[in-house]
Amino acid sequence: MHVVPLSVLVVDDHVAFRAAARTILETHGFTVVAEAGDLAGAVRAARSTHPEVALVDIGLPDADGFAVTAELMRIDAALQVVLVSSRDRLEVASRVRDSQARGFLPKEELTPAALSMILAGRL
Amino acid sequence: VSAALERRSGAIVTAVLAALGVAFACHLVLLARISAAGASDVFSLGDPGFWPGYAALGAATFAGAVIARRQPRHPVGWLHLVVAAGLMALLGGSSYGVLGALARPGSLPAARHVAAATQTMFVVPNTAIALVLLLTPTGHFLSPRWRRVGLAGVASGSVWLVAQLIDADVNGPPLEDVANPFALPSLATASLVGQAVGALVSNGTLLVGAVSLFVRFRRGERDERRQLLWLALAALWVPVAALGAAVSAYSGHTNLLSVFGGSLLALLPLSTLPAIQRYRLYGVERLLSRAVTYLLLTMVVLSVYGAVALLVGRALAGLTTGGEIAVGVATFVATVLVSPGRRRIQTAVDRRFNRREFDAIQVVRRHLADAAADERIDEVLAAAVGDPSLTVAYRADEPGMWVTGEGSPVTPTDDALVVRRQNIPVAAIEWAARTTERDTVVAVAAEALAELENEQLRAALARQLVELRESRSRIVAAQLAERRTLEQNLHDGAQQRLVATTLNLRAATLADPDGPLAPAVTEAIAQIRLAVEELREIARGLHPAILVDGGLAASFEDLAHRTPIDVSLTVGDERFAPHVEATAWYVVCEAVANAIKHAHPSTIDLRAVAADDRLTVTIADDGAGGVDPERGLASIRDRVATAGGSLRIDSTPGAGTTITVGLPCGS
Repeated sequence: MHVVPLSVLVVDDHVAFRAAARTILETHGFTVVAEAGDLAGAVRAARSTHPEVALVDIGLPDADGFAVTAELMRIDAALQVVLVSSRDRLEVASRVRDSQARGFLPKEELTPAALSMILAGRL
Repeated sequence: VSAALERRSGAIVTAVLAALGVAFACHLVLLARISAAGASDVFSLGDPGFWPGYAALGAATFAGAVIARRQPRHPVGWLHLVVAAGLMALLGGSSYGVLGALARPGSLPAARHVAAATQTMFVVPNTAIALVLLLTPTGHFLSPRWRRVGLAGVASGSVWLVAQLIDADVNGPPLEDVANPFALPSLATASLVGQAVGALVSNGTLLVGAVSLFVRFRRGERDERRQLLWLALAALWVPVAALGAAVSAYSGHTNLLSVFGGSLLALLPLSTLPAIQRYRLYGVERLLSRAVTYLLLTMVVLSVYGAVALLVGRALAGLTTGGEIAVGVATFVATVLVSPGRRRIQTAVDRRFNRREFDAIQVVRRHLADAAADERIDEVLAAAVGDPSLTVAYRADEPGMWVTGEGSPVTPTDDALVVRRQNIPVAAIEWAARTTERDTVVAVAAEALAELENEQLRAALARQLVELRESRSRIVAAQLAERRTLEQNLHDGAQQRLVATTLNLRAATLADPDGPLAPAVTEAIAQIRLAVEELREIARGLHPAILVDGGLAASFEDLAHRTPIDVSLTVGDERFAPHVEATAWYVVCEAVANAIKHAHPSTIDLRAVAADDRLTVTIADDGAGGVDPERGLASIRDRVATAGGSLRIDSTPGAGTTITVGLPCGS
């Protein structure tokens, strides 16, 4: 789909998820340029690596994913944020709609194809 | 001097008592000798004429010893001992003189000297009593001017004593014929003038001492007044004793005369004793009003009795048995009058003595007598003393804990009046000290003690209920917190691991979509997704994260999505305390699940409306109905009760069920 892989920042406080997300995203079309475990780390990573996409967990220790989204988009308005959570889609649907994020993916449904669909606005 | 007195007061009092005892013993021996000499008609212990002297001696000795020992700095104790010593000298000297100068002349040395010297001794008690009156109850003169009166009393007393001593006629009966060896006939005129002036001023001092007591009473604060009331109680006896003495003198009952006279002389020292020791000051008013009441009552009954007996006797003068009938009728009338008369007179006297306290007590009594009264006792007490700020705290079962009538803990200040029953605290009353005297509150509380005890029991019960409710709330809050922790742990632990594993497995299939193990891996992913879903359901059951994040609006919406039938929602975005939201959420889930399971409705209407610190949640279905409004939905009932809420179930068979829950949600 993409000749040049899209650069991704993964923000999640679970190391296992960050590693798994890197593994699956880098199988096709994405390259994970940075990982962060909290809001502060995410802001530092965004400033230094300028990713095109940010994958942000909704439940972080120092802030929720919506705040992180707002913070990251203040640094780079062109950044495309996709929220992820191991919670049910229904539980967060309304707040995802109200946010600046491009979309939401349940964590276990994360694949390069699903992420591309959201970024293309088709999911 | 006073410091030395204080240090050695015990020893000094003992020495004085011993001296008085020895003197009295000698006096008795002398009397026995007089009797043996056949002169008992002149001077004997059985002569009622001496009883007043003995009574006064005993009373002054007792009161003086007690006061001097307990309050050595207080002059009145010592003054009473001086009175006793003076009286003892008078009595002892007289008996010495009678035996040595009359009964057996020459048998005792210096009998004439002793007789003459001790004859003047009555001046000593006279002067000391004037000082007692001037110094009671504080031990100080009212002012330097009054001190001058005291000095004048002592000076005039000394002049009087010396002037008498040099008077040839100093000896009175029975020693009137014994010559005075101290007589100075050349100074006879000076002696007479000295005696006249000394007697006038000295007795004037006594009178001024009595005036001093009245001045103190008028100027005095409440406690000092009470101290003086003890003397008033003694004064009350004066007209009775005087009357009795007059009657007995008139009728020739000398023994009775001595009893009345003796009681008068004994009363003054005895009544200064409680006044100075501040003994039972608070009871004195009641005692005094009782005494006045019975005095008046006696007079009323006696006069009625006399009048009736006289009238009936005169009316029946013609009949021989008239006298007996008159007595019978008079007795009957007087008896009938006693009981209501007592109450009337008591009321009138109480009103005179302490109007405010009397009125306050009447308010309490009226309340206690009125079985239909529904005011609480603290309201009654507040009304009684006219202080709306009066509050009552009750002793709870827990030691040291006070609670309001409703059972909430409260801390009375140090100024509060602690009402006790057998020294066990019952209630603590606080009021505006500026408007009401403490004694009024004490009296009113004493009147209401039984009612206060009842209220204490109710307050203790209320306290237990409050504690029960609080402990249930704490348990629910703890459960809530525990469930949240569990949910958090499930979410952060097992669920995250499974999600990561899913992604890794999917990466494997993506890397080699056509590999020989691809179907197995896909199956594993499907199984894990089911497991994740199950964990999520468990977590949601423990405590829905959506409730924490989005409140009732989001969680009701979520519930509506999951429910297989039509659910209409009316719920605002307002947030409430976690336990309120949790209870509302639990009730709604339970009610909806119950409706779907048993009533098979086609629609459910959910409403949550907050107004006036109360969240009202309504769950209405159009199902089969028939829920028992008293006993049905026990788990909902328990949950609502724990939150301090209300529950209403309207359920008609065939016409659906409406459950209305009200939850307090004030801040």
